[in-house]
Amino acid sequence: MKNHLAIVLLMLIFLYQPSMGQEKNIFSTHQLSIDFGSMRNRYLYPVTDIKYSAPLLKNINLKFSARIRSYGTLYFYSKNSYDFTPLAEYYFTKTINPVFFSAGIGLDARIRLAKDERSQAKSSVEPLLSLALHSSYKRIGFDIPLWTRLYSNGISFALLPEVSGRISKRFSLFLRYELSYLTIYKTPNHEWTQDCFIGTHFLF
Amino acid sequence: MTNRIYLIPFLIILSGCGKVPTPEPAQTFDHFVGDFETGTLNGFYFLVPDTLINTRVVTSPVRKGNFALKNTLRPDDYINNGYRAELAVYDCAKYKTEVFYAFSFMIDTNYSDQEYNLVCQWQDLPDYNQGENWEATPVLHGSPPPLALIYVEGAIEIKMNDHPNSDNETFLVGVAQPIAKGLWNDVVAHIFWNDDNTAYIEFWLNGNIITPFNGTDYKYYQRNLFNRSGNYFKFGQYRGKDKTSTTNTIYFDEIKIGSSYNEVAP
Repeated sequence: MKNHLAIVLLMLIFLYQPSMGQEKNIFSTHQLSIDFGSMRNRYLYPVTDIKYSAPLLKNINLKFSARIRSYGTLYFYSKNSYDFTPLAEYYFTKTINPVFFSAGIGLDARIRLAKDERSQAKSSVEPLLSLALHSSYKRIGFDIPLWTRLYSNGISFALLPEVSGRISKRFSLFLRYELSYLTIYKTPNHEWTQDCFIGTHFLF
Repeated sequence: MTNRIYLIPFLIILSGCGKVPTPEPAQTFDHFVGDFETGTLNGFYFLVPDTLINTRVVTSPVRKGNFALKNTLRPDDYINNGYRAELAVYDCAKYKTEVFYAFSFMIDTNYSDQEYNLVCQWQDLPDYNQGENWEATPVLHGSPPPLALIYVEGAIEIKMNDHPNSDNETFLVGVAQPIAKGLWNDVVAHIFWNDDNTAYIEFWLNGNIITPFNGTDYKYYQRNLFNRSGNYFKFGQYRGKDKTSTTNTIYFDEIKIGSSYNEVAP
């Protein structure tokens, strides 16, 4: 119950804060995103994300973001598993266009804390490459990042299409679908996984 | 060659990375012999309230050798969200492996037929590689195991479940087999584990095959993994949330896991 109240209060603070004046574009804004899901391949399993992104340099369209994903809860705090994903992205445009691209590089740290004799999961860090297409039309925004993760024995590709609707200058709601393809070199084995998320962006 | 030197740091970094978070197929599994002939319960994992009461090694009755397991479930034996007294073996039902399992069981003559009782099951696991664990909040995935042998009303049934989000969509494979109390019964299972319909099960009871004929053989094709983490094997007594009014006993012996019928059959 306390967790619910904290989330609602946070949303209200962002929604009713006085306007900062001139509307900023995505290259100069800080953004906090909170979302939860998901629908895994064959069963529901709770996952929560908190992501923060900020401009890195004043005159270069470079943004830094960091996402923390917790598994097994809708309340973020977990004793078992987290992913930490810092990412630096360069946007190939100076102004907001109907369609524009970005490319980025980062890390994906899988933190597995579960102590279960049946588990073979291990913590590790992998490099991550991102290519993304961005688009907007009136109050609707579309983002389609493609994340490539490199592993010691294989590779994975994740498509993360997201549609967002701007509710106010500072607040938008979004839906995101994540489709991942994981493959191991030297074997014909591969796996598709999918997740769905609903969340909010706060701009400031 | 000079250009390729620049690849070396990249390859070193990659070699330090983790593995793809999906299991490799057809990994080796642990062959297992649990015949209690050491007089102990070594090798098993316990899901019982009190090992001294729920899981006792006895000298009579036995299926083979000198010892067997007396498995007792009392009305208030509630642990891990269910009424149970179970022993488990891990690392024996991995993704895309073909495994034979065997065990012998005897329903005690004083056993009171109330509610169902899972005498063995192959329970799914969370997808640990992809961050999952047992203690999800809220619990959105709670269902019967993909495969179980259930003793109910004097018969044994092979029950499967293909709906990890549902608790009431299990289905019977073949027909229920009558079981006499006070007599030993030998079960052998031949299973190929997979998360698609190339998976199959094949069961023998007292040497007679009990899975239905499919036109070619007696393999029943049906996916039997909810995810690629595989399953694990449990036997004993499990009644879910359904409490009984009496204490019941089932004897077990000759629990074996291997690669062929002859390796495991008693």
